[in-house]
Amino acid sequence: MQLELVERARRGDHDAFAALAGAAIFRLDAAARLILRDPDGAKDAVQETLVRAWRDLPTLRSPDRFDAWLHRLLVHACIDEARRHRRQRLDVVLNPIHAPAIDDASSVMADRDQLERGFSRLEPEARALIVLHHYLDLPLPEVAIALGIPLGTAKSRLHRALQVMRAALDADARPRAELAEGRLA
Amino acid sequence: MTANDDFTGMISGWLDEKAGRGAPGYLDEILARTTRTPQRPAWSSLERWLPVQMTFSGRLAPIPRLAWAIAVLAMLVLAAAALLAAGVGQRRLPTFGAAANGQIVFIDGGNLRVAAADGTNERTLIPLPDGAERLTISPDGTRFAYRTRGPVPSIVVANSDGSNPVVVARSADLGTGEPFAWSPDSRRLTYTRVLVADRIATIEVVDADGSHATQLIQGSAADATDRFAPAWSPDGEWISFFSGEANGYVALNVIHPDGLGAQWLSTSPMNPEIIDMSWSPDPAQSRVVYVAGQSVKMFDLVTSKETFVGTGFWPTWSPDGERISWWGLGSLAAKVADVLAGHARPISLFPSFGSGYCQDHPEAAGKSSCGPAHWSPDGLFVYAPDVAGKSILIARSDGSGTVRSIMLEQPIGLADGPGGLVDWQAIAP
Repeated sequence: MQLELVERARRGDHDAFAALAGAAIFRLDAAARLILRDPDGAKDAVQETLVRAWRDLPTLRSPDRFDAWLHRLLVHACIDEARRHRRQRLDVVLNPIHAPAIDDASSVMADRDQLERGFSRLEPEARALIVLHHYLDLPLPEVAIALGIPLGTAKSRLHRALQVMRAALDADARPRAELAEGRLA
Repeated sequence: MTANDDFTGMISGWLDEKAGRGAPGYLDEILARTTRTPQRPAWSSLERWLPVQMTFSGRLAPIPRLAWAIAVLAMLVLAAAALLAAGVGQRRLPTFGAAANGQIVFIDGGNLRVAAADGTNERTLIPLPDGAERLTISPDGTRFAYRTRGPVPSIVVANSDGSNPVVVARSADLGTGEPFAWSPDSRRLTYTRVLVADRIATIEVVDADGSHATQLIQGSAADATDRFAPAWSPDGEWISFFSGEANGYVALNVIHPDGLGAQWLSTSPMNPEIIDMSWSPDPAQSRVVYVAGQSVKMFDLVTSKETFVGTGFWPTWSPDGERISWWGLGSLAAKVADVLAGHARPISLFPSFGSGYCQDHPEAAGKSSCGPAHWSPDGLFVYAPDVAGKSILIARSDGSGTVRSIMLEQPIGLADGPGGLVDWQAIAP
């Protein structure tokens, strides 16, 4: 069904494109809001994504890759939007990869503020990676294609991004005494 | 269920909660815009006309002997002219070993900045495109290269004073953030290209003026093996790269720069979550260091012998190839000879903040490092970003003395990895 709509839209059928856009706009808007953390910026990014999709649809080589292509356009639009409206660079630090894992994940389940803090530390590209994989449930090979990076790089960056988020939780959950003891997993 | 499953499940749940359920009300607005927007004709995409892959195919046809003679003669004349123009007696960089310290070059916000070797006399050299990254100075110290980000990333080469910037590669397929590397003779670069249509990444080589772009390995959708993160061996004979394996691990491979002789190295399997490697700068050694699991290991390409270096990651070499640094509760360094003898005695390069995450230790800002330690060209110093990403720390490589710092106007974003924003120019002694 979607393939047929894509083929029709490629040939200039605007109604078919409207159907495709209507089916996609919720997930595009939600993903853009998560990546940008700004509803106005997300609206601009989704508009840019769908206008570009309509304009460039005839040049899409593989109509069966429409969704992946749309995600790629969205990620680029979000990153452009983030750059345009960047007011100040985030103070982001990298935690050592071998740092301790959370001993009791359930103890921090309720702490949404800490997740927010960790997520806000990430660059837009890293947020896009997490959103595509953990919100849109795209498998990592699809995420890699959407971001235009090798699969190995996608795995590596996802690991680092999750470590940054985990660190935000862990920093507050971990008693100061443990730090003083020099605990290392 | 593991703690890791719990954690990723928690992130998915949190994202669902944040995303909400309401459909946006601006679809009509968009469709009104698309109604007014003409579609691009299908033929306007170059990809529909040009083959996406520039496949290396070796010698395509025999070249006439006379043409060879003319070409060789022309090259000799050009070489003689170049020698006269450059001055035969000019001091040159050593091909291997310690050089003298030139300027420290770093990307600071939207600018390329430089500082003297002692960290003083900071100044802005040139403005750079927003998001420029992966700064790397050519081995001969005369040029630098960086990557721009955005929908169509590019690799740009410029003279060391910032003049004459040349785009040597520009494509949506370049892969944002991917590393690239100079050849040891500073004449070529190698980088990753992500072939979106074929859903794989592969390795290309290009001359530093942007000509002769060549894909080293022909990839295909059926193959479905990523090749990425290329690095050039110091003798110029090999390009190493990682490949994604069917078992989920990553393997290290080498191939000649002409696309021949690809070999899979029998190293320990590498966790794709922590990918890092570095060639020994000593061309006589043919050694690499890399991260396998939680360990830094060294591999000898001649003997295929693997040696444990230490627990940690972020391995780098001193310019004389005699020491290795890595991260393991702070930046450490050990002599290669001791590593090979099985009794490495690592020293601490920067004051360690102990265990835990960098951001747990704001008290260590400006003192403790959080990133790979890179070496000055003379091997006497090491440098790395601090735990807050707000300064570049410089320490003596023997662990003595005090740590100096260069404050950054814009903090380094370390979440994507701290590499590629600072490099130290080598000059002739």
